[in-house]
Amino acid sequence: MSNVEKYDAIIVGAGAAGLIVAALLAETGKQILILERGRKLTFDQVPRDHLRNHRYALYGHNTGPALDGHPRVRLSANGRPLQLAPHENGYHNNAMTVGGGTRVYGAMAWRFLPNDFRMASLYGVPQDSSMTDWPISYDDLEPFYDEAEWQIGCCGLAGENKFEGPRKRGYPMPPLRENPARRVMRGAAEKLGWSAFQPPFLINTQTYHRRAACPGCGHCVGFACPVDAKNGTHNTMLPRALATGRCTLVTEAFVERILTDARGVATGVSYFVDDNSPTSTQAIAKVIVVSAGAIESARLLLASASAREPHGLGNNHDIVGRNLQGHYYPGAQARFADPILDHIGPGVSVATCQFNHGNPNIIGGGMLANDFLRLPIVFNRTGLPPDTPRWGMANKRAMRELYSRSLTITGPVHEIPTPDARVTLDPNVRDKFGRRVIRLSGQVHLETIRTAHFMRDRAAEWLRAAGALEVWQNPITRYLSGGQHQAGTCRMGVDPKNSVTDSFGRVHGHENLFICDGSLHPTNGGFNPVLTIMALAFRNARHIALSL
Amino acid sequence: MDQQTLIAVLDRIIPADDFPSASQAGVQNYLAHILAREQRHNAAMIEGLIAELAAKNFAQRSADAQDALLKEYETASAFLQLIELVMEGYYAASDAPAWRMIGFRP
Repeated sequence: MSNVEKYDAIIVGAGAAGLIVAALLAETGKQILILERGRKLTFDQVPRDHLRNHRYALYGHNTGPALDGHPRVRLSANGRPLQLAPHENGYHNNAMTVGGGTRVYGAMAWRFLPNDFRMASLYGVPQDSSMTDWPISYDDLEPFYDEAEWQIGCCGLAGENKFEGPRKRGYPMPPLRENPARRVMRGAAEKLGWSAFQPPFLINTQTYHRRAACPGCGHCVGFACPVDAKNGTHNTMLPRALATGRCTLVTEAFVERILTDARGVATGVSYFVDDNSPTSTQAIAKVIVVSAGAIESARLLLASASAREPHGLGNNHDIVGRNLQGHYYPGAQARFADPILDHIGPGVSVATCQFNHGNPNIIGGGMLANDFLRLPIVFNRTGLPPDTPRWGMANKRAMRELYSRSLTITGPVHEIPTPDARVTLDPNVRDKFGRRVIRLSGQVHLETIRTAHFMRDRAAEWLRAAGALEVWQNPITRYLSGGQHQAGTCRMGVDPKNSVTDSFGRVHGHENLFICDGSLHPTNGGFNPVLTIMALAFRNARHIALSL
Repeated sequence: MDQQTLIAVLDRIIPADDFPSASQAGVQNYLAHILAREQRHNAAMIEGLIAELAAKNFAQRSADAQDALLKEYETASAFLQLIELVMEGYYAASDAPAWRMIGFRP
């Protein structure tokens, strides 16, 4: 037993939530081990390759995991298993690196609306759905949204979004710069009687915590920030955690299982360090916090089955891995007579919450905004009007004229959870460590598709009101949602029969085993979920500290 | 692959104006690179297309005649795939002239 390491807490996953929990626990004097499957990457190690990044992953990614040795299986609608590499559609990778998705995200910093926490109360439970309320309210989370905004660092203009819940105070930094798209789309919203405003970002608009302001480069979402103005957990909470001297970060550490004793108490974890060493290492701790994202966190609970819990930890009621949600993004595009882009990043500059709730015969809704700046190749593939010739001088001319004159309006639909959208372990395929890989199955609920159609029409309506010369709609097809906004697979709740954890992320039946990431979200809001993931981490870390 | 024909085809997919054509931007180098790696499975198909066009003296034709001939291939998967790769080579290259052409600011 000489190579067994002992800690107060082990945190699996150095992402949006894990590094917050790590810092807060370490700052209360606890000894912390963080196990992160990816590597800690410098700016130069996150290439600006337009075909291999987290915005456009045609041939690969610019973070982990490696393309070989880490497959997942996607079960098609007709039940056929398809093996996928991490960059392929349907794998639903979230950046595997220190900082997780926050290293390469677009950094939109939304609070969910008060009504997002009570979807079942407002709309009932649609057939074949697992719709439910959150066990906590917006008011419960508000102080922690505030902590996330101030401690991670957020820019915006409080009070502009009239649908937002009450807030204690504004943002620590003023919003991103004005741009032509915002002027035009704001005017259009006024014409329609909609409220439009500038969205909040976890991006520095002035020096904050001794890091620089955003220079407005064109490589924001999908890439690492050249001046460290994009606030992830890697450049905010990790330095705090490490500064305590009580936090050990081990990268390229693949956690194969959570160890439990005969009474079912979680005692530690067993992990491989990715140097192709065939032997695993064990670490033991008083508390285990699983913070690996909705897909990997579910995998770890399932892979940790024991004699006492043969279907996986916390899975006596067959809920772990179910209710996988991400965000369906319906949208419309338009071309304008005059340039509408100034090509200053990140690009998203105007949003509306007019349609998150209160839509006739629609369950929920979503936020709409203009899109991030598009990479030239992505614009060539997806941004030209549908009748544009695909080659020749006409194609080149369209690229030259329309790149500055085109706008997309899109946004995340508040998905209707379905138990059929799920994470299980594949019975056949193994990864490079010889462990069973993740199998993804199911697709979004039909009500999500109905909402998507409604939101797409609103997007087109907004663009028409802005005086666009031509408006066209992006196709809507049914698929499994997950990706960077993955959530829901270890939903929190009150009743152990229909939830995996309590309202603080404590796995039912396990005093010292916690989940802390998007897995907890019973529903995933009509917004980019990261600020909510962070707020829950700030809240739940305080509670976890009480267990130590 | 017959380079003369290949370059002639590339330069009809993205012709020159005051910004470079595909071949002037070096797309043929990208093509050789990607067809030897991630797109290896499509190499034979694209080589076949170029050989077919070479047999029809593509490179010796006028620009209009070249366009007319390529129009006949607009639904052929080899040509469609070639278009995709040419666009990648032209618009996704690091610091491509195409970025300045359309206004993308890295």
